[in-house]
Amino acid sequence: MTASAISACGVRRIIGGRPVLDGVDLSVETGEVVVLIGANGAGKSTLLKIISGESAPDGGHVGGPVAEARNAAAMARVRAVVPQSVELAFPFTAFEIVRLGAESGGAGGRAADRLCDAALSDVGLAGYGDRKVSSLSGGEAQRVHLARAIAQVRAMPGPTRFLLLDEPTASLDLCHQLLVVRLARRMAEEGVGVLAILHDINLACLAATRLVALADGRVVADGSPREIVDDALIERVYAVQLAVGHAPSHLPFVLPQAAG
Amino acid sequence: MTAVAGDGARRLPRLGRGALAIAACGAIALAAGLTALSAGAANLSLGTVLTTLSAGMSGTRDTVDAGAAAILLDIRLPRVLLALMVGACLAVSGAILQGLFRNPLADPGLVGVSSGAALGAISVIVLGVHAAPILPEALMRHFLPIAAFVGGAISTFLVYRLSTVAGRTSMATMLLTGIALAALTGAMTGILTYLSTDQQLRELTFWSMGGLSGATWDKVRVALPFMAPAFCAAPFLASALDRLALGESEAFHLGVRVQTVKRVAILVIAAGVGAAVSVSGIVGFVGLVAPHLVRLAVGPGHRTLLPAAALLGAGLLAFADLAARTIVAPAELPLGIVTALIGAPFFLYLLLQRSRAGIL
Repeated sequence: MTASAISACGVRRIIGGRPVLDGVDLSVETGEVVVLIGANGAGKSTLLKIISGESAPDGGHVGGPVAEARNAAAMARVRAVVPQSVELAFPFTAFEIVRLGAESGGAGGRAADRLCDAALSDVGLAGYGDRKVSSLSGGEAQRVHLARAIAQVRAMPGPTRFLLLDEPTASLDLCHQLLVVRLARRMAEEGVGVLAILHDINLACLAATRLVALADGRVVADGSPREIVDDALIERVYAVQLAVGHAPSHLPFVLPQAAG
Repeated sequence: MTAVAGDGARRLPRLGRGALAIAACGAIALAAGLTALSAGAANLSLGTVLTTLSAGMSGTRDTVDAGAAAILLDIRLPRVLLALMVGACLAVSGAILQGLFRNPLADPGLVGVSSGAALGAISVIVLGVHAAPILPEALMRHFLPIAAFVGGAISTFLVYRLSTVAGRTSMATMLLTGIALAALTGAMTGILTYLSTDQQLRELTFWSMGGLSGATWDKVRVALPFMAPAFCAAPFLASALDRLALGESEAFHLGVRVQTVKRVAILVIAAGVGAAVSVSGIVGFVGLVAPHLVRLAVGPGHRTLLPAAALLGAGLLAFADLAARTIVAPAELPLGIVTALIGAPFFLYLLLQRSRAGIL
């Protein structure tokens, strides 16, 4: 019986003698968008690395399909990862990069080609397939790697699929930040479990079905944006004092201009 | 929807382009092989070459001209075959090395893999005489490629460990390590030179400049098992090397067992370069030029790159060896000098291009 959710219990990770993660509990179910927020150095990327199977925790336990996968190839069929940045060694085209994702997820032949074209148009890069990634702008290149992960997830054979995003909006303009948020929600509707690290608290509230805040290596809040985002949480996580507002949709928002 | 369909329509010929590139490189290799077989001190017509070859293969050698048969089957054919094998082997090893280092400028000759293999081989040439009385002849024959393999493996591992930190290869460290290894092996070769006899000295000198003048069927047989792994492993490494181009973490996310792939790649490169060095000495730049030309033509995807570069490298080296033995006939140029005359300016051009683009 394979578990259908990722669950981390009491995860500890010590880097350079400092506990970066100090007993973190986190779960990601299929069909939800969990957004991880926290200050720089709060351990978000370290946690993502452990969840993705790339590194092992120094303490605690990680369960779920990724942890149960026998090897790297099996992991690639249950989870895809979008990294913060990629340095490409050779001049591959956008299509070739996206196709690596589709193949890793388990697709091949014409089916993989179709997944790639669909993923490229989902990230707003239809018609860019034959362009060299090195000739694209930073934001466009980042969306190519997002398309690669989407193609990988859609190519996966089973129903248990996860998409892990490490700051996917870092070099994107407003329009494409919103595109990524909508894509994350859409992937969740397709039954994918999405875990994303986002720095922009407003985008995080927009994207998340559940928000998890990390501070000092621990989870300090875990719940829907409406439940957990308040003045106290912002101060606890970012050490900034400001008043949280509420949009007409009742979603919380913060204005940096309001910082005291 | 039309945009998606348009994409697909443009893509089909591109997939065909890979097959076309492999076929074109194969044609170049075949043309080079046949030209090299027919040209030389005694010019043989293509017809003579083909009939003699087929007679030789079907075991009816006495039906054709004995002189042509002797030149072709006993002298030229093993030499041309070795040139094709060494060229293919260096090109495919070079392409794998570049994928492993994530750097298109890595060449077995430049980063010290060849010098390490050469040191191993030279040790056997000079010190082997002392081992000869105790070792059986059959083992001695394989000693050269084995020693070259060990030397190549140690230097590949060293260069990789020194120049790659957390999955990122510094090109400066990589090339400097190559220089340091070349200096070290040069010094040790110097020491061995003092210990060697006149006969060994002659062998060493010509051999260190690279050449195939001593080609025999025996060398073909000895080298083949060491070269085979590079060709057999290439199809399995290809997709892993594509993913490795994104970085080690990303390759892992895409299902690559990174550590295993790196180990296999290093062993395969060492065996291939070691075998090539043990039969032809140091022949540089083939491993740089052939993959680069293929990348220019059809892009960096390793599934096309590895076979196409192997065939192109085979063709290039067969032509280079033909030039080496005909330009100053009846004397012969060392093959390593011919490839360096073409390859070194090519490398400088690549450096210039990259430094202008600011990616050095």
